[in-house]
Amino acid sequence: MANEHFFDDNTWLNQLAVRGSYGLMASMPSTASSSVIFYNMTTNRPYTDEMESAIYLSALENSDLTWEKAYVTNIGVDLVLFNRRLDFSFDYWWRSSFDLIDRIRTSGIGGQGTKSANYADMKNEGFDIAVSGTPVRIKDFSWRSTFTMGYSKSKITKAEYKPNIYNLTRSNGGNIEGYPVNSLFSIVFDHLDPNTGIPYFIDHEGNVSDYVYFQSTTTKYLKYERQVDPKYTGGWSNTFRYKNLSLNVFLTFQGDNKIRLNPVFKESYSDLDAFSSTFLDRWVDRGDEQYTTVPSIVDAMNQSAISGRYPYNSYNLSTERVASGGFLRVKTISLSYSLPSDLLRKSGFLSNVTFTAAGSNLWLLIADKKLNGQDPEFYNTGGVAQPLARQITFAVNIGF
Amino acid sequence: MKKIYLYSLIFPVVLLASCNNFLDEVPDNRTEIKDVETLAKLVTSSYPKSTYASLFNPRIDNVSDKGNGYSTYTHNTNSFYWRDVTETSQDSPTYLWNACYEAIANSNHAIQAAEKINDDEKIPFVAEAKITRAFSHFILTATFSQLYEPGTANSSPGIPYVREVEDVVFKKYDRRTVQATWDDIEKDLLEGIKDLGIDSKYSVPSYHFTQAATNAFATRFYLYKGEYDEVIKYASKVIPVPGVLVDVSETSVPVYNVSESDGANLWARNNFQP
Repeated sequence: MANEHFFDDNTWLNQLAVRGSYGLMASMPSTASSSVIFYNMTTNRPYTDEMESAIYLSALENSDLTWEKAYVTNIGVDLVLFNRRLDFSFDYWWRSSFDLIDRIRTSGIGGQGTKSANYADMKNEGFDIAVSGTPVRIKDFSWRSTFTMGYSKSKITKAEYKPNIYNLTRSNGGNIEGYPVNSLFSIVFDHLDPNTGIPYFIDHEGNVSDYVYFQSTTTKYLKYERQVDPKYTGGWSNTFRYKNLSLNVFLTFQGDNKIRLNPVFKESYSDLDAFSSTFLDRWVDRGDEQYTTVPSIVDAMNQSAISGRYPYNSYNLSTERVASGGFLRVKTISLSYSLPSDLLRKSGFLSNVTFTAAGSNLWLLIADKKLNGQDPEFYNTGGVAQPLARQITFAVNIGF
Repeated sequence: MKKIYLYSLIFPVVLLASCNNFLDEVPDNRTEIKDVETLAKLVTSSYPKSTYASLFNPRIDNVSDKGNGYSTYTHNTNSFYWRDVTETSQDSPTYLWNACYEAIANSNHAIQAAEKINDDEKIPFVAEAKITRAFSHFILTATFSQLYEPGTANSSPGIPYVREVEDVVFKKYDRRTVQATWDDIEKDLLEGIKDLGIDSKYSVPSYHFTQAATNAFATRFYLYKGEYDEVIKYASKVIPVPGVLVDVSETSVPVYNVSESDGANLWARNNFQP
């Protein structure tokens, strides 16, 4: 559009382009098979001399399965302004997906209680912004800055499969009609027992109880927290250059999601898992329930009284154990210095020498205090994965 | 120029003609049922992997008070009060229903696959598949529909008798009547018994429908159906020489034969001999 003659007169606009697209996309998911599947197995029997090898039917033929489809609309603008000092690009997209494959409960008469079928629908929309520019460019100094941000939201508009309480409250979140993909729900915490410090909840039948049946598909008493995946994600990179010295600061952020805190509560602890500092705030004696919501460490008698009722597992999946997933992080800072080129030329054989000091994952500037040291980017790893390690590196680059 | 058209027509025809055999090969090492060995393995999976005992025990007088604080499984409570069980996990009605129909699907796949196997050794395994199919349907109809009443029309709804492999997401099934369901079970059972063959064809006979197990199932079937001549006929095949009693009342000690001179044994020998 910048080539159109009505833009001839202005001096600040270098380029303007508008993009748009609309299309039908189809994809074949790898998770579903349309042919019959047989697997080999060894039968489960008490003694080894009774076992025999068998073949079992793992999935029936499913000739109705077809492509997952989506209508995708996209509108974008690209701008280059002020003598190419500022680049701006913006895209807005809508995606209406249909015939998505999801599991569905059948009558079971064919021999498979849940099957895959093309029946789920979902709507997504979002935008992406990228701005980059050079706000300051003088003789020995320049500042270059790049900002990118993405926003997306989703809503499952049709899904018949009924998830149970555990499916929706675990850290990965679950999928249920009317809510975003990977929505996190919580069991509603009610109070601590004034005599034992054992937590009570609104259970699967809407009553106050220390026992919640995780397999129940009655999920209306759960509280919707938010989706697990952030709606906003982005980064801001700044490069300052003064003569041969260059400094890069890169910040990342995300927001508008909730994450499940680590499942630290149990009915009994060992030397390996009793270290959470959350326990410092726990219920210790009668009356504490007015000041704290952290349950007690149970004694042997109460442990046997709650056996089979798992209130501490429920507590791990309750409204008390979620935190906001939003954060602002100093991802990397790097400082580098290149030797001046006239010095290199004198040496006769060096073409470039650069010293670099770089640090990554340095600080979490803004994050929910409830996280208590837990990394908001690593919420669903289950306790075996290491969080992002803080790294500091020094490097010398020599080119001949 | 014309030749180019001709060649461009001939070329794909030649090329595609040779593709046919190639495309018929499966691209991976998937398990297929194509000989008697794989057929026998598939039939091994055609036994329902669920029990109905835990379902019925709380509904009859086989319950006892286990004390407070162990009410984790509400199906026990619901069954005890004869309420609907909403759970779908193990020991629930839904689980039994799905497990039986899963077993039936295994039987049906075996019977379907056997049609393409040209080997007479398949006959006893097809017979086993028919008996397991009859057995699973028998468990289902005894659990989920009215029991068979001899001398009545038995017109209340039965359960769908599945003989075909399902290949679509939702297939319509008809429950028909109890009478029709029991007729189908009887048909499969009799066809199976005829061809069952010797027990040594199984690698582990005690986990399969052996001659004795099949006849015991037939005995049970006709006992439920009220055809007592058939009951005696099949029961005699299970225990050819009656009069040997086995004490199973004390579960803590191994099952042993009751002494020959035991009063009950003497009575049985005098009264049950043919």
